[in-house]
Amino acid sequence: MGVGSVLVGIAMALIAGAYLARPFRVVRGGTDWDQAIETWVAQAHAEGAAPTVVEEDTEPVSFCPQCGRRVGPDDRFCAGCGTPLRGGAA
Amino acid sequence: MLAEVGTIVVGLALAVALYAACAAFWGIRRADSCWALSARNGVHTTTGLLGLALLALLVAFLGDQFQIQYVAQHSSIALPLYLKVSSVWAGQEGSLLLWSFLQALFTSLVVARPSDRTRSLVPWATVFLCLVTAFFTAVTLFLSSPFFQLGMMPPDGQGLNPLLRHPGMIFHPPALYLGYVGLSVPFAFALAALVTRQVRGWPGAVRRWTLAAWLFLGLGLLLGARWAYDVLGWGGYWGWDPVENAGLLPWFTVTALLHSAVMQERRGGFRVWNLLLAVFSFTLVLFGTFTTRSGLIQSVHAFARSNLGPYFLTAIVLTLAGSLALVYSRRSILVNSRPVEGLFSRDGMFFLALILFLTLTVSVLIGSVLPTITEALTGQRYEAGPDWFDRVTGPQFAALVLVIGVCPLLGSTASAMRRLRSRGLPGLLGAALLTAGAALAGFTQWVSLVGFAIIGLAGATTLAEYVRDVAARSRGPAGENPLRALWSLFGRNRRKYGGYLVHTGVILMALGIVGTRMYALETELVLSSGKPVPVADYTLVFEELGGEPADDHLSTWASLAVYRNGDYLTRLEPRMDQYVGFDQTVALPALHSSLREDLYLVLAGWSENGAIATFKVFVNPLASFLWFGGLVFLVGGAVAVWPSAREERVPAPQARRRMLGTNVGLVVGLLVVVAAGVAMWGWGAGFGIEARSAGRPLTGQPAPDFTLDLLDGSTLALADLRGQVVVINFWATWCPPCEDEMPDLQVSWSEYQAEGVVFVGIAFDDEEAAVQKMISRFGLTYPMALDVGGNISAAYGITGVPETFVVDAQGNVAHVHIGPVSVQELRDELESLLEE
Repeated sequence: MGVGSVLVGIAMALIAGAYLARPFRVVRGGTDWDQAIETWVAQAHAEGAAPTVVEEDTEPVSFCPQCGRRVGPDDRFCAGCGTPLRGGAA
Repeated sequence: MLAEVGTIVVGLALAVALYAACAAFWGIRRADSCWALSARNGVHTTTGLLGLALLALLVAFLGDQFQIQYVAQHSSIALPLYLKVSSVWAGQEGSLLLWSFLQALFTSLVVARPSDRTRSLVPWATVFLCLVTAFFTAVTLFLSSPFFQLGMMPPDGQGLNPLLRHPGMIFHPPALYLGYVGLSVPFAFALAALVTRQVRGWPGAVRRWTLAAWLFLGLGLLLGARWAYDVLGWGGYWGWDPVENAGLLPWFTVTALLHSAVMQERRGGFRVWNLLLAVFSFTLVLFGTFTTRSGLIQSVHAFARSNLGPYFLTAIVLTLAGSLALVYSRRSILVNSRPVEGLFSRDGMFFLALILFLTLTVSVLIGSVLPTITEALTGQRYEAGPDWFDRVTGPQFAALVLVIGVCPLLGSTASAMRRLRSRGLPGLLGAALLTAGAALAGFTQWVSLVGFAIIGLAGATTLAEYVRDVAARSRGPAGENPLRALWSLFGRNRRKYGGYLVHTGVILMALGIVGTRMYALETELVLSSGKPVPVADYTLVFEELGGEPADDHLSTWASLAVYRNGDYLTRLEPRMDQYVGFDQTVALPALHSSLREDLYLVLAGWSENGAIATFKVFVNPLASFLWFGGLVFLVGGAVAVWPSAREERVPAPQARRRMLGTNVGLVVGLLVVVAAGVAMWGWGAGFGIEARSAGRPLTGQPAPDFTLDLLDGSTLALADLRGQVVVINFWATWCPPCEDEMPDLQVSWSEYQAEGVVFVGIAFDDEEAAVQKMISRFGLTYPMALDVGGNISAAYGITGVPETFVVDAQGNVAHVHIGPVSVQELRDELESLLEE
């Protein structure tokens, strides 16, 4: 095994290691973190309880732009705050 | 240095893959996203590292690094560039590296942008996929490394096995591996679904993956069959060889999975079916690799017996045992008590199809392992030959085609029998028409007629479905024209119409299979130059033999003129290439395809002087339907895989980006499929054909008339010579064998001139001065002329000089000599003609 090959190997190992360790140095609260939380924490609740992530085909879900409440696709007014949904800012 | 770096990189990839599996698991256990993200990074790193290793191997091939054993075994300096590239996967070591890379790549694609539906399953799927990647990488690294170095550098490599130089063989392994690797994805998701108890939506979530894997597997199988047909020279395309079966078995289970996934999506049942089918598909992939690489089942194209067997066997046992245990432990959520529909409903037919696929899998599996099991149990090998497989699987395939035909006629429930009556008419018509047509065309075996009836039923019913749907769209005030209607149907519901197209392809292939399996003709003929021999509807005239030395092989070719029902059809040139380095002979057949049948000629042997040659002749009826059906099948699969915009509901900018990525990926994939298909069927097909407009007249046919200006100034017309025997000799001054026969012709002429026989010498592509010189040199006194413009030579279809035609008193060709003729031959022929 030549010296050159070993050096190349070490260099690649270091680069790989840095890439693998990167998530542990991500600033909490950044966008990566939020996305990760959403994806993986839901997994923890999967055993036993119904997961929050949809597992079957459902209709598309929307949220009220005013109060953030979940609304159905055919709703014309938000049931929580009364904001018009169709043809408005939604 | 390249080899060392390659090995290090593969080792690193193994370590990272194992890390990724553990990190993903830890991320799940701790609900910690840092570990999860690190795992995802690990997946991408593994892909990058394995890609680098593959690149290193490619560079080694392109750079003729023969100190690496694998490169020396499969490449050589003289090998063309594109073949050097394909040599990377010519042997086991490179194949396993390619497989490992593809496995890592697919894992990367799975974790990169999970869709809404797969998101919850991806964590566990990552664990399983990383373990699979680690397994293949470990096998590559420790048992089968392509980077093993010899102690020295040989001056040249051994070159690529000549059998692998066909375009089909270039694309066949990658296509198959894409299929095999693709099957790990539904498997991983099935296990993830079991572990997380989300067993309801997973088949739909991985539908595209399953479909893509199925498509590539099918492409690989078709490519292999076409290669066998074009290159192996035994007249067939599928021998039920264990290696072939290794690819077919998972294909059966994946096809079943596709259908049962549809069932689960629509009706909700079949949970256990889907899970088990995904597990079995992947297990069969491992099993297939195990059997082909362990030499456990002796195979015609066996790789060397290698040391991989025990490890693959362990992997298979662990996978199967673990998966089944998992299924059993979750059995409470898998039981589904839906009311069972009757057999005569669409659901019932789907179920029947699943059963048939299972029985097919079991049949082929039993057939494959039968020799080994009987040898182990009784000490004697019982081989299940191609006939056994045909007889066992034939009825099952026929039943499947029948299901294709009957399914559209049925409603969702068994009570919709009315539909059968109103919709059944086209099917019955189709069955009757095709059966009658086939019987009239000469296909009269009753078993095949049953097959034709089923095919006709299925074909007509499927066609009626298209017609009905197109008609529905074109009817009415807002109707579109039929072609546009067809296009929009395909656009709106790619799944359904892609599926119909696939079924159409299958029906066409079934037609080809019935024809080639039941009516193939095989015979061996010994042909003498110039003497016509009848075979089926054809007449074959062996013309001449030639030899061409090339870089690493000696190529011997034979040319034959082929006539059908007395009319000239084409000229075929089957070849035999003898490779000294590999001690291997490749018999390349020459093929003439028509709608009705394929004429397939293989050069088997020849005499020293080249005047006699032995040929194997195969007539394969309906073979073209097989290949055409295969193309339709692939196109249908591509249509079904293609994503439609409306399926994804994602915010606009992200959607556009993802759409672009998906579209680009799929366009590239489609191009690869199309290019592979065209390269294989356009290039490999029709190997060795040289069709010309006119051919030599056959003996018994009238000799083409002509009028010649002789060199002595007079004119000679063949028609005027009716009532006399005529010897027409085509020759040229630049042709040494012509010089050899000149004295013989003169002697013959002087012997028979008095009896009224006329000799005519026609100089082809020549000049008067040279001809005159030849005449005076040999003292030739019979009529001579130049074929100005070459029209007479073309009319007589000569392919070289000298050629001599002996025409009888009625003006018909009695004898043909391709090559020089001797006094004795002429004497014999003229004597017998003059006696009449």
